Amino acid sequence: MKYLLTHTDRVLDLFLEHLSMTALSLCISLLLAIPIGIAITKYKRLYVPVTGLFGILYTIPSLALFALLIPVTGLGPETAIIGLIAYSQMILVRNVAAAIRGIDPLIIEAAKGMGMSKAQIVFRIEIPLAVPVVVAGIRVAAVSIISIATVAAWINAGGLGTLIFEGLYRTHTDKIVAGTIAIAVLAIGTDLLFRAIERLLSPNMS
Amino acid sequence: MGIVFKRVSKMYPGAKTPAVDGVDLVFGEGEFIVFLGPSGCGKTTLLKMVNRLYEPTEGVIEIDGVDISTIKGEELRRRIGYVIQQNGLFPHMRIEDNIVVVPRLLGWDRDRIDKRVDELLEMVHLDPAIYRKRYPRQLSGGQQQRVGIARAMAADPSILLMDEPFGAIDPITRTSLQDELLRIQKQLKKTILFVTHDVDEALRLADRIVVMQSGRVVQVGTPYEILANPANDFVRQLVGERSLFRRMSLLKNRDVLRLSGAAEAAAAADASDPVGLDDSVSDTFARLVETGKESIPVVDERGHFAGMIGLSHILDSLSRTGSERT
Repeated sequence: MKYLLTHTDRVLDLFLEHLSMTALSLCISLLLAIPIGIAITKYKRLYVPVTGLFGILYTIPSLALFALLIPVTGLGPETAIIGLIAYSQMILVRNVAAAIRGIDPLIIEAAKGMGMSKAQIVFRIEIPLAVPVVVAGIRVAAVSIISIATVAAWINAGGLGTLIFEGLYRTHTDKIVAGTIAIAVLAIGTDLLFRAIERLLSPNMS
Repeated sequence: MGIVFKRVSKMYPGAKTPAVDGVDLVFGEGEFIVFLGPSGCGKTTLLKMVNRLYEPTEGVIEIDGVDISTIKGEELRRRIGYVIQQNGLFPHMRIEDNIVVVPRLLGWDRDRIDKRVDELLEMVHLDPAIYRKRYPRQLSGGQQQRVGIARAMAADPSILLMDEPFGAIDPITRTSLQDELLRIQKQLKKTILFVTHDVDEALRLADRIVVMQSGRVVQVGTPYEILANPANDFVRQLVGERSLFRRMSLLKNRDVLRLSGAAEAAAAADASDPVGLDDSVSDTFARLVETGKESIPVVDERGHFAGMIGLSHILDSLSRTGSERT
């Protein structure tokens, strides 16, 4: 606990680094996962191969994945972000697809029967109805990215993992504790934030 | 004019028999048509071909003389009202937004849309001040379907397609919705194609009923014709044993005058307290019994004397249209 109090500035810097790395990964992930998730519900033949591929990526241990990426993208935060995006795809794509599949087909039929085009159905009906479910998926993805990003310190990506690795190398337990507490705070805070967003989005309809 | 089906068939991929098999039908403008039959008889398929949710495998459907396959699907659908079972409302939109989906698609301006919401809610007897801002789930099933009807009418289409709209609604609410629909139809003269498997609903609503079985049209006729002269055993079984009163309530004074030749009867001895040509015979019957009179005068819409109806005329008409097949 002492480290946390004596080096508050450093912990805060690493905290922000961790936050920006995970936030950036999550944003890029969403930009990819939403269209992919929509595409695999429209072209059902793609569903199994796409979710299968992300499923396989997800089973690779994070440390191994980062190591495999080093020869391609080198050391540093870029590599970490690519890895984090790959992990969150599995959660987010499945979630987007499930959210859209969960919409009552009668609602889609009504939309079609009223003369909405395919794009109008996606943007005016499917996306708004999928949002509350997708936000739940984003929450899960965000929390897991935060924890996986800790390992990314090993490839020089920075973040709160740095404290833990430094602590490990120099048997500096106080550093490990400080890092762990900071990560927990970030993860729990993120979880609470997205839960609040979920609540804001859903009461409308029930 | 109106809607014309020309040898329309629909074969679903992989199916052994067609869902709709060579259907020829002609509907006039402003007619209330009910498609009646058991599930799987092709009635819903037939309905959904009218707004091109399904495409016929063979044949042509024309609306006002225009082959609908030449009209873009989305454009066609914006011109045709569409009502499905209660859950067709969009749960994430307020009632006002649900109602004006089509006007928005058509690019109406804001003032016109705003006025239209109030008009439509008033038409289906929902107070705009209370219901405009609500979400569908805050409404009962019956109220939701009122909104469904209002939504279908939003852009004032001349044709309304209704696919078992009252199927999931309790009987009492269903009756009041049926009344509402009949009132609206009388006012606005829409051409309505309505699908149901509920015989009572069909008899109640239809100007003409289209009875379907295995993709084919078995019989087309007014409710009374269907009831009195079922085309075959299937129709007879479908409409079942309906009581004499049921038939009487569907028979109009006009029919009795025509069938029994009562129109030629001498001018009225007592022309007071007449009944209308288009009133149901059951009322006339009740009046005869209550007053003890031998016959009751019938007048047309302008109040001109049209004939006298007595008990014997009614019984005669019922027996003519009932037992003996024409």
